Amino acid sequence: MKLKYILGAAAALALNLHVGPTMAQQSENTLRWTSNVSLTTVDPYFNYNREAMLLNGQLVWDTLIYKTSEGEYLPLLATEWKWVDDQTLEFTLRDDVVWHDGEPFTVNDAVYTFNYISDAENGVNVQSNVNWIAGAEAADENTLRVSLKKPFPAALEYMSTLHAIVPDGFFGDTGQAGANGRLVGTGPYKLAEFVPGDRIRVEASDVYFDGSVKGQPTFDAVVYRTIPDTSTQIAELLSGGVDWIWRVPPDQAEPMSSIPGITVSADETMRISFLSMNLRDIEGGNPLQDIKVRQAIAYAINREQIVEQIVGEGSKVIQSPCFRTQFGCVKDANSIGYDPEKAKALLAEAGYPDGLELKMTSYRSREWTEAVSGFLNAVGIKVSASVLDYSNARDRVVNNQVHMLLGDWGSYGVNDVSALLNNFFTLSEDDMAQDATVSEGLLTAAQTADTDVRMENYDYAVRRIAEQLYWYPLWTHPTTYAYAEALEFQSHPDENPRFFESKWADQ
Amino acid sequence: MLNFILRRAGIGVLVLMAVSILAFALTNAAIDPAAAIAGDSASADDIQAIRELYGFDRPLHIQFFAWAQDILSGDLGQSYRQRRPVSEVVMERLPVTMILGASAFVLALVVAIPLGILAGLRPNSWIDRLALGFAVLGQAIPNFWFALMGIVIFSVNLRMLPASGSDKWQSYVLPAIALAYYAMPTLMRLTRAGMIDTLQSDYIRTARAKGLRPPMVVLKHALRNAILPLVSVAAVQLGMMLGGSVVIETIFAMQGIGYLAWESITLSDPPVVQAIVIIIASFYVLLTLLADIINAWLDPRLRGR
Repeated sequence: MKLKYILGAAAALALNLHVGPTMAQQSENTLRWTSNVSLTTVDPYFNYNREAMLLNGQLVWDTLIYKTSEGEYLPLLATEWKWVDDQTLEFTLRDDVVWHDGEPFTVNDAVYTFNYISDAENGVNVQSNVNWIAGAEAADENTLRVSLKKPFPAALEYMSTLHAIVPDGFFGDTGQAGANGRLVGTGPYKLAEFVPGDRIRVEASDVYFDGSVKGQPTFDAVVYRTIPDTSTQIAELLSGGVDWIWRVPPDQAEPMSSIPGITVSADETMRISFLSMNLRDIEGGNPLQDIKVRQAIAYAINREQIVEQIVGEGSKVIQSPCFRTQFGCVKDANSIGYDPEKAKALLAEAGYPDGLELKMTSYRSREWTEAVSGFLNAVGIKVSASVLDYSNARDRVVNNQVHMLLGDWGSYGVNDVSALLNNFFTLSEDDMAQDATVSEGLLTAAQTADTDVRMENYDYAVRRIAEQLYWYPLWTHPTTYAYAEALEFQSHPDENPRFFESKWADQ
Repeated sequence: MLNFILRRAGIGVLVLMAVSILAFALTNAAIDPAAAIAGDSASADDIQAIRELYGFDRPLHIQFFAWAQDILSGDLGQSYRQRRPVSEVVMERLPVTMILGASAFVLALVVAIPLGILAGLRPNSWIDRLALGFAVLGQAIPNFWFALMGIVIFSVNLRMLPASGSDKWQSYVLPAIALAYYAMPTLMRLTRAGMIDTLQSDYIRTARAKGLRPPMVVLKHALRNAILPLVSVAAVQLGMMLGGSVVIETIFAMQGIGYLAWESITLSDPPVVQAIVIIIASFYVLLTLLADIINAWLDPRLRGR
């Protein structure tokens, strides 16, 4: 694949192309964007891709409340909300909202949505996004009451980003979006065309409610197309076939940034990479059970160099096993830096003066994996690395077949460490450390509404994970965007491109 | 002749059975559909819940027999991703692949056969060298590179043709050329070799001695025999174009079954992958059977084999 990018860029530059996006889309006030994700369902619950849940989800549908990239909650379909107790949330709903077909939005729609998604039988893909909801009921004609199965302080994080409200009866008996004949939302754009796996066209709604934090639609239409090949996406942007692409490979971003009419920007996201160390018993012994070996691994890796030369612009080295804006994240929990001599000394102290052999798996990037392996090899740790897809890499972790996992997690943009650490340190089969005290701290924090208690427990868990080097925090992931220069676009660290904020410069 | 056809059809059915077992076993070995459906952020409990909901926790042979029974009754199953019947998903995509495959096939034949005839008529001449050079390039250049160069020149630079999509006829031009270009060398070389061979045979010498005009000799007498081997190879090439255009359809984001195959593999949607493998295998079996029948019709000696 990399060869393709290089060849493509080389040919484009060699031909000295004078390219720039056409102005047609601007005059039609349409935004056309593409990504490699094939959207096979249009609803926001049976497609876990960010493209579906956050983009079309938030253009066509609305959540009860809205979360800014700084983590502030603002009213959307609900004007007010409060915790009645630590297992009950109450929302006062707007009474001036209508669906795209003109029918009024009522509390029954919200009740249906929460009761449908929380029923495990209905099979929402990511159950952990919804399985803490017990159900919902109407307290009166404008008040929604959502009951939780257990205290879950991060509830509003999920409800403000992932829980789009759909019309009553939306999934019908078949479970398909719009099975009730009403494939409509309350969002600023209405669904105009959906070709599974190919395209989604949404058009400005003329009934969107005034006073929404999303504002009135700025485009007449927004069109999403799936283009699986990155080179073709770039070609479409250069030839004016699309206006916006993202996740541009770093080696392509640089040549593109010099092309007139194209803006390239790389921004940090909430997704972090980490080196997870396996402390469980492994047949034949596990050297990683000795903290000196784990420290040697950490000292051996030059994260700054990897970030600068491979991961690329927008990425930063992190010193804590979490993203800094997440609730519960302790800053600078780890102080280890690159020191290969110290790494060798620690290995010798641990009884491995001639080095040792370890197995590692990863699922994101071959280049990153090779870079980490290279630094470890340099201090005498021979790494047998396998780059797999996520589920197979996870299988190796679950089946205790590797010493290390070079992993990453985006937390779904949820600004709470429970969305990150609770997946990996609560004694589940994904937990390579199996530290009962960390697990207890995380579970206590996740099930308590008291902020001080939560912070105290997270503080303990985060510091322990860092100090014991269960995870060696590596870097944040950048996302590189490339788009037509005339498009006003602002990116956010939660990796959520808010197209309702964008517009063409002359509109 | 009927015995011959039945024998060949029987072999085709056996091939299809073997392919279906392989398709089922390999997709199950390669994909954990529960983990794939649940997504990157799913917990172990999420995955287990999906495993039970879809019946992935049943023994593999029981899943296979249930699946095979459904296939035999014409039910290709339900797409885990699209939450609708696989047959519906596949039928939506088939026309694009058919049009692309047929266009590329016709283009390949229209270029390769005349070029092969010209090269065969004048071995070692400049036109022969040109044709052979063209064939070497066709075999040496990876088709994805050829496709990308086509996009750079005709879409980015000249802006004559769209870089992707399958919603207008212009979208088919670059992919059809890229697909045909890959198939042309084999067809051209076979035509050339067949022509050289046939033109040296006695009956051609006789035809010439009788004073027939050269075009008549070449087109009516030589070509008919020279292209016999082409029939079998062309059938395989057409099968390849209908089923093997995964790379081209993916590069050009064309909504055909090749792209659907790629999409279903990356999205881990085994029922669609299995259905596509069986459909493509059926194409091959049918085309090979057709080629066998045509060859047997042209050359009765083959019927006894």
